[in-house]
Amino acid sequence: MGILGLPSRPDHGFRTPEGGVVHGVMAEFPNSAAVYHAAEQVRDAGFQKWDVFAPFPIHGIDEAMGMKRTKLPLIVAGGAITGITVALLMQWWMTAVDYPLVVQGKDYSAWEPWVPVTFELGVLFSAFSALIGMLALNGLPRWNHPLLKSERFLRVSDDKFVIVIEAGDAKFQGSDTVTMLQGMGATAVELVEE
Amino acid sequence: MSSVSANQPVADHAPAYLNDPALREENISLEPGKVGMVWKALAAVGVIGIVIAIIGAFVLPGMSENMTDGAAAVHVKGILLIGTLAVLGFSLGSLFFIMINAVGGAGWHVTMKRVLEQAALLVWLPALGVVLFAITEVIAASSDDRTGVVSSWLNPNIISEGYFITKKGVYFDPIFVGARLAFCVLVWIGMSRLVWGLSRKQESTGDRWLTNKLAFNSAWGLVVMALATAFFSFDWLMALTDYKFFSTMWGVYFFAGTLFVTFPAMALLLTFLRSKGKLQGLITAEHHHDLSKYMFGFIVFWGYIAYSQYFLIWYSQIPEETTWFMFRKAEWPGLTMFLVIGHFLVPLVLMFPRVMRRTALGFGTVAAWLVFMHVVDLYWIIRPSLGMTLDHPVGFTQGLWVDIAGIGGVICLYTGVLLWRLTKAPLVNVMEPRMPEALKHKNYI
Repeated sequence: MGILGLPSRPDHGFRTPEGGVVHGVMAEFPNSAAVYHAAEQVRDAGFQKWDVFAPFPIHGIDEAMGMKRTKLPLIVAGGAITGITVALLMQWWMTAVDYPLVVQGKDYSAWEPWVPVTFELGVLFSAFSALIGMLALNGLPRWNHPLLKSERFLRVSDDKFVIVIEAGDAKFQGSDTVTMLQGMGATAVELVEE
Repeated sequence: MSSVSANQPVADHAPAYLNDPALREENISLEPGKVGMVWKALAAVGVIGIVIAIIGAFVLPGMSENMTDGAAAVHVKGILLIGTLAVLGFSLGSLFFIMINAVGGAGWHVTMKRVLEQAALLVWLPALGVVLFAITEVIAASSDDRTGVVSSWLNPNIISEGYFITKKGVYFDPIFVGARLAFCVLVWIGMSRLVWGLSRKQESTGDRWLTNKLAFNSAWGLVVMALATAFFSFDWLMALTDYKFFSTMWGVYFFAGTLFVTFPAMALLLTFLRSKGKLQGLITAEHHHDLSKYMFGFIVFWGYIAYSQYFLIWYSQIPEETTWFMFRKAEWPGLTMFLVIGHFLVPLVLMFPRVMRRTALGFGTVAAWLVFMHVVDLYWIIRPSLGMTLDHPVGFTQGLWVDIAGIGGVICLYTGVLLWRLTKAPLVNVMEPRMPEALKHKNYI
């Protein structure tokens, strides 16, 4: 793993005929059913570094890909607890310690007025940690992605479905993997350069 | 709409989903033999509990010499009202939930809609309890010694005060109060029978347009239901405990409580039916997951409502409002803190993990706790005020077993009758047009 969990680019030894580093292979499928069943087979073959791209969400693709549940809720819970703690400490210190002021004859350390701010800060920190955590888990932001170089890949935002297996995967075996994807019903398989 | 409605016989256009094995006869009908012992035992325990509470209130230590102020009668009437309002909340919440789903065009819940309809249809039982309570109040208030009155606005020691007569006398004129109660009861029973009638008619005719008819009637019905339920809670919960106390949030507070108890009670009831081999494949972890989300939502909603109401009253310091909370905080501090922690904080945290919302052990444990806490909520509202205007309110703290027998008795009786009613009709209306959606229901997140 690279800095801050961003994916590094280890040299796995696979080269294109022109000598460039191979990012992976990209297989194109004609419809959602084909890509769904291909995904099940890729999952069962034990691949880890791969992904499915489609123009729209496919119901059940998570199971077909064997995706694990995200760790994001734990990150958000950490953000919420931090926000609540910060809010309570801040308000206690301000109203009861640093600058005690009688308001409507209430106790300096009355908890009642603290609740709205505590709630808001809990929500705010949760939202921040949700956004930042989501970006970090996805390896974002990044300047570019090798897949964006492929003309064929652009059609996943229109009418094509694509599976990409990265060359960095332990199970990746070059032309054997290409043959495997062709056997799953891919209409086209192409090499993606890093 | 009516011109399209053809009322064709089922066989002419029987949809393909009717062949789903989950909709087979024995899966969606509760034979009387399956729950015969259970409902009879529950009803018997309920009646015995109520009798024990009535007798117990009068034989509590110290009660015999205090009989002159009607303390025992006030005690047992207040306790039975707590139990009645708890089960009333379940019936009203079920009715609200059906109507909200109808207006929203929801489909996932139709496999549990019939059970909700049965709970809603049973609203007459707690409504009858409230009417009986109101009658005993009027009798007590008009008797010679005028003792045994629970409602603060009927209490002879209070209504002679000038403030009451000048400010609230008209609103609490007995005939006006009775008319409001009659309106509320008629609305509840009328709406529940309307919902039930449409569902049963759809079941026999297969007319899918009746679902639209339900949506239309739910749209205006929700407004009427909201008014009826809010004013009922003003009269028989808010003003009952202290006629000077008022909170514009009270109707919402009571509404939040009704749905707060509906989702856990429904989760427990459905889990019980599944344990009897019913609704297999119809009520799945996915449906329970959504019920649990509603449970979670109404834990938060109740917390939000209850805190906001308390916070504004705490800050503004209007004497007739703050005394209501001050009395409970000062005289019943343990119960007040228990409500904050047990009704909000603990279940909130318990419902965070996904597994708690999807497994019967997880949501079942929380659901049982939530039902209990809803009763504690009503107990906290009503119970402290029962002794307020009496000469000898001391004996009340000794009668916890009377409280448990009375409240538990009403809840057992209601549950027993509900189980008996469930054997009288199929557990699912198979002709619901959104049935395929409910059969395939799934949470993708």
